[in-house]
Amino acid sequence: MSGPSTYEPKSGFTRWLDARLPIARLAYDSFVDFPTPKNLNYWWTFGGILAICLVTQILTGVVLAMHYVASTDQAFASVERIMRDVDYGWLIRFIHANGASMFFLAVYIHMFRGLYYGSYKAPREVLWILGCVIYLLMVATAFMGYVLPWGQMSFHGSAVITNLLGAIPLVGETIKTYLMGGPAIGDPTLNRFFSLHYLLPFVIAGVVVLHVWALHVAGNGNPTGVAVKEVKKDTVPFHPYYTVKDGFAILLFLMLFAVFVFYFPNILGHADNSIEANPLQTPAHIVPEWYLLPFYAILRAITFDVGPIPAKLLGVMAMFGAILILFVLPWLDTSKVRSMRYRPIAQQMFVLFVLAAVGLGFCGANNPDDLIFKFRDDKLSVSYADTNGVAQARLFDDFSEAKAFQSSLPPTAAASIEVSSSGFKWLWLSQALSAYYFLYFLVVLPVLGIVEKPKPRPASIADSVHRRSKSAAGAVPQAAE
Amino acid sequence: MNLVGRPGRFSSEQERIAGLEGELADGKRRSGAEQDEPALLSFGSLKEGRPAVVTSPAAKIGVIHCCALQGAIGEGKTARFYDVDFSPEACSQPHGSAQILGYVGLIESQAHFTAFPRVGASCDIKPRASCGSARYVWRTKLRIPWESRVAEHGSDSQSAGGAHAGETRRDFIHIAAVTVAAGGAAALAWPFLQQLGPAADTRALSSTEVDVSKVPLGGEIRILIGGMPFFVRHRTDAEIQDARNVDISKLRDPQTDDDRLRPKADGSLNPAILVTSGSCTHLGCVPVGPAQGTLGDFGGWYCPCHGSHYDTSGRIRKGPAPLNLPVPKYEYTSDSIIKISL
Ligand code: HEM
Ligand code: FES
Repeated sequence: MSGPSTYEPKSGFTRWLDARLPIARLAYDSFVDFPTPKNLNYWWTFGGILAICLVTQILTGVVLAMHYVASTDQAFASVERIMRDVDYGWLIRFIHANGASMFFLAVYIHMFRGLYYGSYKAPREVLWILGCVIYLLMVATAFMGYVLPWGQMSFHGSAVITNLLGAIPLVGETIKTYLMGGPAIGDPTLNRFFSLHYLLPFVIAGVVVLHVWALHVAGNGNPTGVAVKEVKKDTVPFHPYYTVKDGFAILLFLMLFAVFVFYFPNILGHADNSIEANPLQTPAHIVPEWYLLPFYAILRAITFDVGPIPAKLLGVMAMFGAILILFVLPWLDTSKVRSMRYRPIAQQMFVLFVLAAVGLGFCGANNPDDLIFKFRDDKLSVSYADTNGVAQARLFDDFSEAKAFQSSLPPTAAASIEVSSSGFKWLWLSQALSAYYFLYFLVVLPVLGIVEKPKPRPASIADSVHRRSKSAAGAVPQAAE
Repeated sequence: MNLVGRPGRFSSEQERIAGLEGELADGKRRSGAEQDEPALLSFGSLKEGRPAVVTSPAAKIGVIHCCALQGAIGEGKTARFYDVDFSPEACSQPHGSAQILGYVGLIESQAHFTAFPRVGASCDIKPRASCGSARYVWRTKLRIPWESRVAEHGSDSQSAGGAHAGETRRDFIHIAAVTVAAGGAAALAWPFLQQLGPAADTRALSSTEVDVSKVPLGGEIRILIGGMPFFVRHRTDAEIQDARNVDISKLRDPQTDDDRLRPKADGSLNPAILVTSGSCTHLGCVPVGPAQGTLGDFGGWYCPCHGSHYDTSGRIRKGPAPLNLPVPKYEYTSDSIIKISL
């Protein structure tokens, strides 16, 4: 799609350089004169926003590493020192910590964009898969980064995740030991996590280069999903049209970012992580950072064995499967129509999918056995053993009645009173939403592509723009003759 | 500028200058229309008018004239009008009213996006012959940065509202945006630079107290303050005499021994205790002294790195070092306690 280069070196030096290393030509063809569909909406600005996020994380991360000490004795104190003693250390750390959240926020929007507009379909499968690779790397980076401050949540969160890997049959224990470098999370673990946490963002940067390369081979998709037919009519040059649009979106995004950094710097974090890690005491609720909550919910939704597969292993499989399934999505969706604008049923299924994903996030934040809502008021339950020794229970509204009933029973009944609530558990919601998550990919998309009748699509991008403006213009009252 | 799908309107000032005379309804031909009059556009509304009153000579006006539309329509591309690539064109000859600086024509051009933002630069289309036509037509949904177009093509830059040629609103936006971005970058760079400096805890560790009565006669103690070495030497009488009996005019860095001492609280000097930096003034090695058994040729210190010799007052006597071992900031807080600060 890029066509022949239109770069013309202007000065003697640029001509000289162009003959030796056409880097200016590459930049020009990629970011100045790159023909970009003229109908991209703001959902397409998140790629640029992500690039900003990556640069932000690398810059602030390199600075933090100048002051951080990767040792179980000193890690926590060195982070406190960054917060209190290093000039502007608080700022740089808050940018890095909240930057991770902003990065995930942006990447989720970017991915939902891809899901809705069918950006993963031919000819962009590799582009999509590279995106999935980036996402996996981001998760790994974020996970290891969260261990570094050596707070309570760092320690026990990483213990939970590494123990998960132990569930993998045969090799699990070995993987786990090699990951931790010892019998438990400790100095060796912290040091290798620090090393990898520094390394992976540069790996991400490398994969982003491939991602953008693949993007520039296939060209941008667009909200109609209709391919560019005539470059002259359907596209505009990237600069200034999209540099300005992306720039505007980036500014808005940075404003949101700044609100977090300056006004609510800790709101996305967890208070337990302000307590130094104590291997002998686990916090009451172990939760990952918000952006991993949906996967955490899927993990915990599996509470049952299936055949020979124990629940623990199945949960791990479901959690990783939820990400890995994205890799094969281009071959699961059978519809030839890219954009869901023209797929009325898929559109609704997609909305449900987004709700399910967000809902899973809430499930992950809540204790699975807590109730979302109650079926009835709490009652008192007296449980006892009847004369045959079979366990029985009776419900009472009133404490004195329950007490009277309890005392009326012989001591052999071992009667006890407890509160009995009945309601809808978070666990059940997690299970329902996890089921939909997988059904969406494994059943809805494959089947819909065959049975759904798509709406007519515009003949070209230019045509769709034309029609939209026309309907807008038609609304203006026309002067009489 | 993306004309496509980006409805705009004439600004009020433009309306005022070139008041509307009539309006063409969508898709209709104005009653009594002339043969060559554009019509039958199947989109938006067409407005037709002529510059009625041009209020001031400074007023700028651009007119999209009929031939442009005709071109588009004439080729039967009515429905495609949105896709016509616009390129401004100006007629240089004056048209009746002297205040009209130029006419902006819309014509199909090959390279909408390259030509359009850089008006004039690559405007490869010739003015149309019918530019002098007295009727002007424009679409309400079209916005042209008037000043820039007209100022560049206008016959008289003087009357172009004082706008110097090439200095346009777009330039202003460019400059403003770049300025704000530069300010933001500088504000961002500041904390990133500042964090490299010594942190508050490092700065707090910048002084130490030493009990000089613990230093053995003829010996020295070495202390580190914030990683910087310092010597506290308890000199023998002979060493003090050596230090005093020097002709300072022969020294590389002339200083008397007394210059190199700090008074006690009562104002008296304590020549027995000499406090100096432990960092050779050549390239920063730490010289050897009494504890290492080497005093150099002048009984003070010897720097093994490149052979600098210091005397018993810490003055440079031989070797490459340019200056005496500096005397740090210190004060006697009591008879035997000194406080050394960086
Ligand atoms: C470090 C993270 C990432 C960066 C910096 C990044 C960057 C970009 C950029 C600059 C674009 C072009 C602009 C746009 O369409 O928004 C793009 C497009 C795309 N990205 Fe990403 N991306 C990242 C992560 C991901 C992930 C995790 C996925 C999916 C799993 C993904 C899938 C895609 C797809 C499919 C496109 C093409 C969309 C289209 O043009 O229709 N990206 N990316
Ligand atoms: S550093 Fe002492 S002589 Fe060179």
